[in-house]
Amino acid sequence: MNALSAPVDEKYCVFLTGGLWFALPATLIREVAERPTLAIVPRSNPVLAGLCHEGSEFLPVLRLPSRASQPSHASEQKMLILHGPNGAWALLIDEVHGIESLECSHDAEGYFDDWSTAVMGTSTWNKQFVRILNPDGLYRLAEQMLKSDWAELSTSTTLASN
Amino acid sequence: MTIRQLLILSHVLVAFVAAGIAGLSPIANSSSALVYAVVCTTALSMATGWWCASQIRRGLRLIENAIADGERLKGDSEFHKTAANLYAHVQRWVDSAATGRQQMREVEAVLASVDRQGTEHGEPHNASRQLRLVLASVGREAHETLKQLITCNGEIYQIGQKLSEGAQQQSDTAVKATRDIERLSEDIGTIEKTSTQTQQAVKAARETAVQAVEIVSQLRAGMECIREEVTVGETKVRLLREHALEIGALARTITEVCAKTDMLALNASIESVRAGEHGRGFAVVADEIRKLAGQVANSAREVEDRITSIESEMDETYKIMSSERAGIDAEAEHVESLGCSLVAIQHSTDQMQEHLKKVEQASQNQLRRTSDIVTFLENVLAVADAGRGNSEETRWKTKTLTELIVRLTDVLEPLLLSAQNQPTTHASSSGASGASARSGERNTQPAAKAAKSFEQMVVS
Repeated sequence: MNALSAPVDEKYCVFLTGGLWFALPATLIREVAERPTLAIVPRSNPVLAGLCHEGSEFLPVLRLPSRASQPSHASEQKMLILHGPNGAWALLIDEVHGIESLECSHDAEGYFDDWSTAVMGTSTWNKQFVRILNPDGLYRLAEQMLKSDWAELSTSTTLASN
Repeated sequence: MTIRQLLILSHVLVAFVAAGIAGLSPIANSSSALVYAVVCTTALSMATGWWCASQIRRGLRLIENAIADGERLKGDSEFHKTAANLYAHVQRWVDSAATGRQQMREVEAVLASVDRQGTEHGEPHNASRQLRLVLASVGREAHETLKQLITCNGEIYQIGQKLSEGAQQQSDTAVKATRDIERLSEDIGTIEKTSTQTQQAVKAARETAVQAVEIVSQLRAGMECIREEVTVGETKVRLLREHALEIGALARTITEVCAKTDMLALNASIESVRAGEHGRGFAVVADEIRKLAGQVANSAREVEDRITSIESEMDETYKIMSSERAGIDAEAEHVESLGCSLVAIQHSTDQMQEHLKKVEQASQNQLRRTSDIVTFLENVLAVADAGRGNSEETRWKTKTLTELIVRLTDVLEPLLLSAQNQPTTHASSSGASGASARSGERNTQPAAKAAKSFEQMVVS
């Protein structure tokens, strides 16, 4: 089990994206904002939605890997701004429900094999299955995926130039 | 001088001549004087007969004139006057016949006296024979005249019959024409009555048309008001739609504000969580604010939905009112054409009323003239009836006159027979005087017979 430990009865921000309910620790969220105009980064993984200018700083805007595989992203009208190790970053979501107290169970293994490091545990809220995400893990996963893609891209570019 | 006085005068003259002859016969002893007396007497008799014939011819001429003037005779008074004239002529003729009979007897007596005197003096009775010949000649003339009278009387009878038939046909035709004209008068009366009724109906139609024209003008004014009201309503609906659009925009603004409020409240909740125990009350406030923002957002969404439905209804109402305005314009044109048609109907009813007045006047004139024609035909019918009655009476009178003429002919016939028998009698009497006496008796028999027939005729 690779889940991080989390305090019981902690406040979580419950949100909906891609038809799935997720939650993030409320203390790690800096702000909830409307989706701004994004600058698309070319030849990047769909996990990186783009870059935005918010609060006198440039923020990388990510989306969940499960959402990145979907063809339409028109419903992503809000974003959560989070504190990260290298500064703030943003996550595109569809809708924020609110701040709720959730009882987290750390048994996320088996649900998301490809990005299990980003899921901290699961819970139920209002008869809905909620996945509690680990922001740092999610950030690192996205970073790895971007680096991998850019590495493949530079290799293929070098081969093509040679 | 009347007929009666003339007859008395003729009788006196004959008696005087006979007395003179009787007185002169023993004195004169000559046959010449006797012959002169007989000739004078015969001349007197011929004059009397000629007078009778002239009277009869005059009566017949009066009858012919009466028949010819039968159509001009009007009323019973003229007819009775003609009948009285005819009766007077017949009476005169009867009196003349009686006078002739008396004269015939006297002549027979004179002849017998002459025969006796001639036999006594042994002279042949040439004077008697000559007298008989003269009488026979007079009888023949009278016979021929009576024949002509019979012929003329027959023609008058036929003419009277034709006149009667013509008068009957004229009467029938007049009756038929009167009936036809009475039916024509009834038809004209019906036409006049129908014309009057039609005129009243046309008058009522005209009044109705006038009322309809007024109603159409009121309807036109009403439709103009409705059109203006619809135009005003259309403008107001357009303004309401614009206001609804503005309200919808406001609702959308409220929704956006609510969304931002919700986000602010959510961020406030996140900040209160980050603040820990110090931010717990702030979190409650933020939750309440979020709930209020959600309620306002829901209400604003409902308002927006309502405004959207109102907008669609306004659009439909605007379209309906536009369609109504177009329909009102079309109906106004129809009303305008209806008004023109009603005015044309009004003019037509006016002209029709004038024509019907002329028809009514013409019918009244025709009725009046028909009444005059009926009066004329009734007069013609009365005249025809009078003429037919006069013709019938003339026919009967002519028939009676014919019978009387025939009887007169029978009366005159013995004179002719005596004249025809005279030569035989003269031959036998020249041989013996006794035979002359017998012949005198035989010669007196036709005269007696004639006198008897004439007496029967007069009695009849």
